Amino acid sequence: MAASTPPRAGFSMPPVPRLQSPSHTRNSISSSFSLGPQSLVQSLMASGTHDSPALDPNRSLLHASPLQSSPRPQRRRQGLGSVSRHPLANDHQMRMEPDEEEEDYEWGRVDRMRLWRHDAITQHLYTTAAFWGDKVLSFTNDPNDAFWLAQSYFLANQYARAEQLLTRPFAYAQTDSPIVEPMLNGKGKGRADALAALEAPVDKPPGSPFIQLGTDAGDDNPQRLVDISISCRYLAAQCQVRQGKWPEALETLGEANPWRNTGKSGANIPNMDGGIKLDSSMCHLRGLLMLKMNRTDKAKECFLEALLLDVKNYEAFDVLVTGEMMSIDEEWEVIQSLSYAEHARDEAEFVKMMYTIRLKKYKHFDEMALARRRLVQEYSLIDNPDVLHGFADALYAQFRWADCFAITSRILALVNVHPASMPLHVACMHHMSYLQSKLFMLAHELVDKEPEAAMSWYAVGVWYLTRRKWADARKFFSKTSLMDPRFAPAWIAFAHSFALEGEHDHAITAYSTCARLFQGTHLPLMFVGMEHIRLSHFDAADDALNAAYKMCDSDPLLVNEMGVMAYNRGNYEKAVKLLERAMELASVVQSSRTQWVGTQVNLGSAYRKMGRLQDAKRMYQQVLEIDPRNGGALAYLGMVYHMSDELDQAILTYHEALSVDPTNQHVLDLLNVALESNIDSPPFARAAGAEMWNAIVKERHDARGRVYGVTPAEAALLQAEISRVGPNAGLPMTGDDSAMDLSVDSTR
Amino acid sequence: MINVQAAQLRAAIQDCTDRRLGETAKWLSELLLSLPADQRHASGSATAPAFHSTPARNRVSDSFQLGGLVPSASDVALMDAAVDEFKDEEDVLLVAQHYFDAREFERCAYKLRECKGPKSRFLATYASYLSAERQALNAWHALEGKRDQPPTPINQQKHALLASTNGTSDPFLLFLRGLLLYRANQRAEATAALITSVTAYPWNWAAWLQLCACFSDRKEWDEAQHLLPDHVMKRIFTIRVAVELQAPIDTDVALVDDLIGVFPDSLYLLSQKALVAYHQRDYELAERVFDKVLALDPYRMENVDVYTNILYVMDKRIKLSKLAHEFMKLDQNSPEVCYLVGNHYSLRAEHEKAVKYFRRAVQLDPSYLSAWTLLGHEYLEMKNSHAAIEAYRRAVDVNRKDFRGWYGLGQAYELLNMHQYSLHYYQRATALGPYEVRIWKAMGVCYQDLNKPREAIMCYRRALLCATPSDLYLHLKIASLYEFLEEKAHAAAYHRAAVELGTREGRPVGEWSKSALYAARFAMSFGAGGVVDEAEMRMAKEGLERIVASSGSEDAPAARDLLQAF
Repeated sequence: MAASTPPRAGFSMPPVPRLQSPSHTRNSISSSFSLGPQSLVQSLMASGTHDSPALDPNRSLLHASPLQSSPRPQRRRQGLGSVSRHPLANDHQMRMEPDEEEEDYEWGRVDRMRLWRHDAITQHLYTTAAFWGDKVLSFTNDPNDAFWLAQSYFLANQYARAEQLLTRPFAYAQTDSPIVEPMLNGKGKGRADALAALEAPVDKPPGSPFIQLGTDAGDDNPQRLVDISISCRYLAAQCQVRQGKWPEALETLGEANPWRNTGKSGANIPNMDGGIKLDSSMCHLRGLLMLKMNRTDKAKECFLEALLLDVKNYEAFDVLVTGEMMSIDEEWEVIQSLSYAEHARDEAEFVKMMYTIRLKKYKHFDEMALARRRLVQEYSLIDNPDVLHGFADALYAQFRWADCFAITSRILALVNVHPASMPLHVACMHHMSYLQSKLFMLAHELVDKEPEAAMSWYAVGVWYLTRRKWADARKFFSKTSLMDPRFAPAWIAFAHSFALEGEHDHAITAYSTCARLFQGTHLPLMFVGMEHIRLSHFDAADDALNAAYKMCDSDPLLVNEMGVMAYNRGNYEKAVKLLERAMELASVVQSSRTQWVGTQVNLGSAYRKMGRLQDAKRMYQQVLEIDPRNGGALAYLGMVYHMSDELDQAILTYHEALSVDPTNQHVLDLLNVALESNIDSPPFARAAGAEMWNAIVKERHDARGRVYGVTPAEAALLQAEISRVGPNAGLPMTGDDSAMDLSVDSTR
Repeated sequence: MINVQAAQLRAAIQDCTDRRLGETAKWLSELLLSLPADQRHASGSATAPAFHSTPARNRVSDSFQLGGLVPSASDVALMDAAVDEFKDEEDVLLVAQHYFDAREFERCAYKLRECKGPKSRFLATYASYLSAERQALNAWHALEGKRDQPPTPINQQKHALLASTNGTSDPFLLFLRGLLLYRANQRAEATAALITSVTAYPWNWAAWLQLCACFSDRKEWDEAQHLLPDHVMKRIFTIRVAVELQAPIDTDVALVDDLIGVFPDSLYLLSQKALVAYHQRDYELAERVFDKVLALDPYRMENVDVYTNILYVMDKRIKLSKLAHEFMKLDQNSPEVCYLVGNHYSLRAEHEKAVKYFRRAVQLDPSYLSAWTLLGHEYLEMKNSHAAIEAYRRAVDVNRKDFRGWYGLGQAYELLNMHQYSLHYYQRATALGPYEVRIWKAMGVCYQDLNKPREAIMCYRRALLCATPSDLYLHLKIASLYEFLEEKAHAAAYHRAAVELGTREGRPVGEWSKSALYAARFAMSFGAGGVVDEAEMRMAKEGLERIVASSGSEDAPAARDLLQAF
């Protein structure tokens, strides 16, 4: 304990501050001692683990569940009709059923009111619950009732009230005997009738489920609820967070997990009751606080701790993954090495697979595919939105937008709102032009239905991005980021709008912000690198790309950009290596070839620079097979022909390039150069069959020299000329000399 | 002897109608009608029901007696199975066909989306293709007059459609696949698909036509020839290819006549005959045949454009006028008619009006090669080289095999004094039309302008090979170039040839008198060296004597002096 939170060690509060007035306690916020959770730890350490469940961080709230803290024989409630029954109630009814004694149990006033309170909560009548809970508390002064009253306040959004209840000095000991006693020791002590009723669960299991006071000091000294129970402290922190009182909340929760290194808590300690560890929940809440206070690193630690402490804490996982907090390898390692068995027991495998399919899709394709398949086959989760999302995400990573869209549409048909799939859905609509009208509809619908959701405005922004209205798009993206600062797609899209508009400097700034906010993803850094390349800031580009590569070494796009940089630096061998690797990675992704046309063109150019003209030609031709109107590939192919002295072909290809892009000055210049040199080349460059042509000429001159006005003497001269100049440079040729011969004869 | 079963033709017509290959059906039914009447009636009742929706089963046995190659049996089985299996789709198909007729292509494809039968699948794919084309065209027109309008509409959905025909074995779908592959610049694959298609189902004329577009020269065609089924369609196709490649040979002429024997009333074959004659420069015959065609069917618009070309070349102004008036009444919005009228105005040297009509023709049909070329010619006449270049470029884009576009480009650039460009285009033109004297001449001029006399000489000599031997101009050109290069022996040889030509053809003395003088001077100065033999000496002398004899010549005094020197 000392190691993890050294500054707090000296200020730890004695378990029971004697003779302290409530006002003193309150003042203590600003005074020397801490309000942090250290006191709880010390109490825990002081008492044995087993007899202080309220202080055990490895427990959940299950045991403080309303239904157990107030014994309510369910059969009496059946008169209310099954309609009003909460599912939880059913659950507990089953547990209670074996209790034969219930029938005989007489209900007191307090019990009835507790029943009202809990039923009101399940029916979302929070004010009612608060009203009756307040009365119960007044009757009993029981900490449990106080907790439930606070819970009611919380649910009614009355956070300040709840907080006040939890943090005010609570005089639970109004009678002679401390209130804790009956709870700890069971019935049989002399007490008021009402209180006797309270401790009613005669069949109470040995580890009492009640919130129990962590101290054995049961004097009439008022003590704050947060100091005697973890659940109360957690609830108080929740209230403070809701009120935006972040420093206070952090104070309540502690800067770091107070139980760390105490040996009482940790990943390997299974929780006692099968619920979710309070410890983990607190870590998660602490993480959220850290995020609010822009301490991202710390937040990540907290979330990781929360997940380590209890794998079932999906929210911690979700924040980590959706918020792009971990790089790909880190993510994979963490998720694969969590202690599933301890926390999820029989469902360990299932939980692991569910988490696995959410991870980044740049690596471990087979494992993820296997996980998806098993989830579908063994658990028959074919129509579960989260499993479907795994499929959709994988398809999106392969640029198979149409398929991805089909799946996201299915998801949305199932659940209407699925936050994780929504960005994918919208992105697919952006990519497929024929869906753009649908995107318009969707954005309108979302804004109508859920104007409070960041996602809705993000969809609007994407629509404007699709329409190439950059300023409008930006307006909505910044609105989105204001509403939800951790919504990565909006940040990236915001930066994209700058990049697409050609405002590269602004784009770099925006991407850098993204990179800072979302440290687990390499994409913003890669985009920064791309913008720098565009601006010819090669050093900066290298820095950014290398940093991105450290995060993710399996994104073909990134490797392509690095290849481009190597090319820019003139290191063509390295460029070729990198680009080949990019193609290899792309082939692993198995996306359609059209997506990697750019990389192929780059690779071709690198080959060309290395003088591997044949390879370059092959590459460009492959590109043109896929996309016959690729102006760049056409121009480069022309250059390859030009370089390999196939002037004719070069000129032709330049023409084709110009037909795609008529104003490309580079190609025009190249064409002029080619045409200039075409003048100097022999007039009939298509030199196939040169010898044959010569033979024909000779024959013609011998046989019919007269017709052409050529004397035998001159024919001899001609012949001499031919042999001197050589066949290729000499006489007019075309490819089909024989055909020509035929036709000349026939026209005569 | 070629033997055609009318029943087969009828079945084929039905097949194409079912698939809404309208032009093909029209063409086939014309072909059917051109069979002799007795043959049509006799075979129609003898064999399988005429309006069976697939080719008759016995097509294999009695299709073509003369060749060994017949469609494989597996293909026939496929077609038969198709009918039984997909009977229940027929009602949907019927609706879809009517949608198609109403040009509601999207709706047609949508209606057929679930259908699996070969007919339905073809019609669905075809309708999607047409709708994609229409969209592309609309998108293209939206860009009209803007800078980023590409020269031709770009169909973005081609690849998706192509992917949907992967691995098909239906001959009609194969045809579509070939078409799409061709559009995607994959000529070899397209050729293969189309050859498979016509082998499996030879009656699909559209597939043949597409196949024709795939051959870029005679060599390719010769290589592909033996892969094709020996079918009457192949014969008709052979003519078509020869015409299309603008190089019909004598066997083609014989073949046309054979075919006309089989289909005595076929106007298509008749006009093919005219086209063959046209490309062989036998304009009189071509005109006669076209006259016959028009007499038989005064409303036939196909190939009328070539007819007007012939009339233009033969300068038959009145006939052309009459034709223009007749067809204007018929349909002003047919590209052929616009072309015809354009030709009419062109012949009357009303270039603005001609341009207007040619423009209209290409607007109606942007793939109208000859109209683009003639539009270029008109612009060239009007000395608007930039517009001419644009038009020729489009012509070349439409068909790279046609040398006229390339030649026009060369001329236009020459007007702009951009000789290096025109040289390249001339080179392309000569590669395509190696027997065209004017291109070689133009190329020679071009080399001269670029100050390359040697290359120019080569071009002129090449021109000489193709030209009629009486082309005095070429001889003089070559001779003068040799003079310029101071290669006197060569110069003298060509001068001598010119003199000889001139005297033989009885040209005016003025045209060759300078040559005679040069030859004589050369003979005199080199006579002793043995390079010049007796005959030549005598010839030189004769030449000089003729000059002297013809009194008016300005060179007479010089000749007299030389004669005395001999």
